[in-house]
Amino acid sequence: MEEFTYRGDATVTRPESLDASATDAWVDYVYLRDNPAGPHKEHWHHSAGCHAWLVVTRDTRTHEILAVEFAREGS
Amino acid sequence: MTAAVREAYGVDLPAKSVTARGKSVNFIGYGPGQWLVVSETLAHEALAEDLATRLKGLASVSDQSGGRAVLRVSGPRARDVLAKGLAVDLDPRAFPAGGAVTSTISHMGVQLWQEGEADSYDIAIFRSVSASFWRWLTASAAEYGYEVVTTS
Amino acid sequence: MAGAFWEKVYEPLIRRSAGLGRAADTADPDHYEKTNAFCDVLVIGGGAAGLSAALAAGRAGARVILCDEDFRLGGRLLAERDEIDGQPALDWLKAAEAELMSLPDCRILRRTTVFGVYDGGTYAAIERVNDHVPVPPEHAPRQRLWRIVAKQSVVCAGAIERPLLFGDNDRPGVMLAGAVRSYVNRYGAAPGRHAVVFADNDAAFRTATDLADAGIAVNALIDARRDPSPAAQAAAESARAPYFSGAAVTSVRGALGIKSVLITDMNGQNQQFDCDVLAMSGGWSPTLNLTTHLGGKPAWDNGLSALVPGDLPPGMSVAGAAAGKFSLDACLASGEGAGAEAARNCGYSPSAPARPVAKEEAATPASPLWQVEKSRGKAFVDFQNDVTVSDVKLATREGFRVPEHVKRYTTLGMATDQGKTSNLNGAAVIAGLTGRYIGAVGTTTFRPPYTPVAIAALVGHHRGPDFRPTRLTPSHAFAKERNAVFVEAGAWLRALYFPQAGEAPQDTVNREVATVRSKVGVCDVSTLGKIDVQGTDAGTFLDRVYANTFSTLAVGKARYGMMLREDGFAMDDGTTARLAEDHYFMTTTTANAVKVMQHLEFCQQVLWPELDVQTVSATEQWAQYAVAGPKAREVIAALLDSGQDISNEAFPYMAAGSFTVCGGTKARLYRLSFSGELAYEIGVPARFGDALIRAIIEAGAPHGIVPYGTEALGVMRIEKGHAAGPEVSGQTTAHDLGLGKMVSKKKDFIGRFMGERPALTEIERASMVGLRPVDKDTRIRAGAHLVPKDADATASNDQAMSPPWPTRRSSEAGSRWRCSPAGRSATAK
Repeated sequence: MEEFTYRGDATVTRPESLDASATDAWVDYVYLRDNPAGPHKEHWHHSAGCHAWLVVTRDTRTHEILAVEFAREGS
Repeated sequence: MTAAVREAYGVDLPAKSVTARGKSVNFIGYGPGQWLVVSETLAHEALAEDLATRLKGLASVSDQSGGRAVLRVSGPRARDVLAKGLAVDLDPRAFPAGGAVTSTISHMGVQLWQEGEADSYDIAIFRSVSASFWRWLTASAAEYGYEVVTTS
Repeated sequence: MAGAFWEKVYEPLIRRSAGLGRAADTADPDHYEKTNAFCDVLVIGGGAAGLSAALAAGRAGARVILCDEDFRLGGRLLAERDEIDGQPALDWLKAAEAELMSLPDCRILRRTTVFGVYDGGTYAAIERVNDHVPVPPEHAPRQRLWRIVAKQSVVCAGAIERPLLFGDNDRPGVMLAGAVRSYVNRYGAAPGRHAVVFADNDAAFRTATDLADAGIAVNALIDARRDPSPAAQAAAESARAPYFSGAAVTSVRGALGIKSVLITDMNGQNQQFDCDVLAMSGGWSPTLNLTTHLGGKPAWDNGLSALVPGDLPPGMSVAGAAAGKFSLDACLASGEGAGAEAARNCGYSPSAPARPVAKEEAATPASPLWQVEKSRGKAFVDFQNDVTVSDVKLATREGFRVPEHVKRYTTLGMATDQGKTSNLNGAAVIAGLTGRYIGAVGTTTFRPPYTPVAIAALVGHHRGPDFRPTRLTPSHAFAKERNAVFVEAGAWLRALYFPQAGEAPQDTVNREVATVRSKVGVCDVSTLGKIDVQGTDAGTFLDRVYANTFSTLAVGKARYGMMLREDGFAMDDGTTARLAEDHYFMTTTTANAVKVMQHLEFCQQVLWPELDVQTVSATEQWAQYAVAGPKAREVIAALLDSGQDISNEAFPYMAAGSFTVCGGTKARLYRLSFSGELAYEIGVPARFGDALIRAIIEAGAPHGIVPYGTEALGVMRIEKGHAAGPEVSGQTTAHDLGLGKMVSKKKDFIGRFMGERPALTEIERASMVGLRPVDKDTRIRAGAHLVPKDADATASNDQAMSPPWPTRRSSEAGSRWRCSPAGRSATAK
């Protein structure tokens, strides 16, 4: 679907601390992703539509979409 | 904001992707908290200024009147023509009167809404792709035959 | 010499006789298109089962699309002499078709093959709209690709008859029994004068009756099954031909067309029968390809000796022969049932009218003859790719035991038919050779497309100039009149330069640059991404997305900003102006306009939804021109309506403001420079873009103004040392680009933390430098090597990044180059 842009894992949270001790948290946030087989929460952007970021729960084995919510409301 | 719109334009701001025609303006919902406002009487910047004044502090208004062209495709084969580029079901069962949608036609972003006659659709396209869009539209309609009518 | 002989004589000869044809070297003259359709119930196949399914769903009120690959609905009904409700089946077919066409929401697509199944109930189909006419009517496509989204689908794709494997089974005159019946019953064409029927199933022996009734002699019926079949015997009787059970055709005589066949009966006795057509049938394989496109595996049905659909994609059901229900009555019943069920699943309430009935014939179970042993000659398994039983034997001898491997070793099933007639026979041969049963051997995976699809159909409208949408700048018509040479910049078409008569490209660019430096020039910069940022927290928001600070920017001022990615690398840059306390106007690079918009929306909606900030793209809204050069102020001043002051004091460097031009047109003016000269950018609503460029040219005429293109722009920005696309490459940091000082240490922003990692700030990183040529007449080409002035052009003197040499620039100089090459010069060799 060209209508959406896929971003990836929606379960990671941007760290708030800028302290050196937060390095691991930042590396996790920027680089490390789980790759679950099964339901997974992902960020999708409705690029060709309403420009909303969505949290899509998708089964990575079947591509079945289990739930969709607006990221703004979900957070 | 709903109250301000009702007060100013005499229409309930649509909560979904539909059109709502008020006094001199037409509100088209195209996403959560976003509306495209179209007017046939308030020309160009006048519309944005009117909205900005009446909805001050309630909404951000950005003039898009120079950036879009609006065309109307109507006729018994209108849906067949649009189907050649639009992956949206326009059948009245799925797209009721007054429906609106933001999508792509032939890879070009569009906002499309339906009002008035059942087989008539208004399409807002971006100015820069209007030549490409026109090529697609005329190529897609050629099979059925079409007539170009310009309005002022 | 021998090589030349091979190339010139043998190879062309072999290629000709192999019938490989020649690729066309001209463009496809035909028109293709793509379209979308939506329905409740998609019925795939318009035979007895499909018609029943479509009728059941359509009568219930469902939106139905019925696709059939033939030009006439009916499927096998057209080729058989069946009866439905005691009447000829063709009468029922006619009535069914008429009723379907009378339904308000039933679309019938003939000559249309559904070739792929995708997620979300999406199906792809190819309609051969005008393949059957020499030249399609004007404006009509030759083929049309359908993307069909269906809530439910009923696959009634029928079954495909299998050939039998015996020696010389490819000789002209050897045909599938079903094909023989189609010739005789559907087209009224005699496939030969005298026939032999060789099969292992009852249905095929109807061929003998049909041939005899059509006046074609039948010389023998050869039944591979050991026990005589009453139905086959009855057919033999009606055709007045001898019937042999437990027999097989072991040899075929005749090279250009068969003349006779040799049979071996159950006692091992040979007999010869004259014939010019041999109707063969090894049974029917359900056409289940579409059921497997999303990963479902077919299942082996021992009773039917056939692969039948296994797990089905969501919303799909299968009826008729595709589901292994081969009798006409079972097709009618299962089609009706599946159609009604599909309608019910879409929320309709189908009634249950008396369904049509066909006489159920008592059939002797098929007992497949997978291969005729002791048969001489080549027994073809894959007729299209010329793969024989002995090829498969060789493959198993070589150790390939799995169909997927045998396929790749032999090319069995790899032709354009993708093994429709050969896959199961191939699996059976492998099973026999490896001592397993067919169900255990399995089959290869069916993938879309089910049938070959022309690339042109997948492309549709998007070829030539319509390959993708082209974005035209507001000054496009003007630039075209001025004979501009255009360049593609993403989807945009931008003026590269504006040549004058007799000018070489380099001269044009030099002239444009020189004029901007000495006088004034105008360039369309409308392609820059423009984003309206509004809200009480707009300043805070920009502080978080830019590496530098914007909340402190005064209203009426613009500032250059650098955006980083969260990993600390530079993402994009541009100038953002503050138009009001709660209103900023951001520009991005042309290339990253969409990406930045998406990024801002992510920050706004996902990271900081609590901020009161709204963003919307205004790229299309504004026509924007850079007016640059010593005379720029005079040109702009001439455009402004009277009483507006843009003197250096009133409108200094980096000022931004609203003005009116050309008699009341609202314009935004920014005093910024990308080219290093006195410069302004002036924006008007895009519908005035064409008028404004002409007004600028007119106002600038007394000063010698020229329009300049992106090439001149590039030259001037490089001289100025501005980073742009080639430098903001995703591998550079703000420090690398010489913009490290801009990066704020006082606040959190996207990329702040990760950008401070040691590897991103270490002294050894490559950084952007300017070059001043020693010899101004020689071009520095991309890829040129830089060596210190007066040094030998040797590898060890090369200033490029390379593995360590004994003398390296950092150890040698004890310091590193930053952005300024001052004091050092380099020469290009």
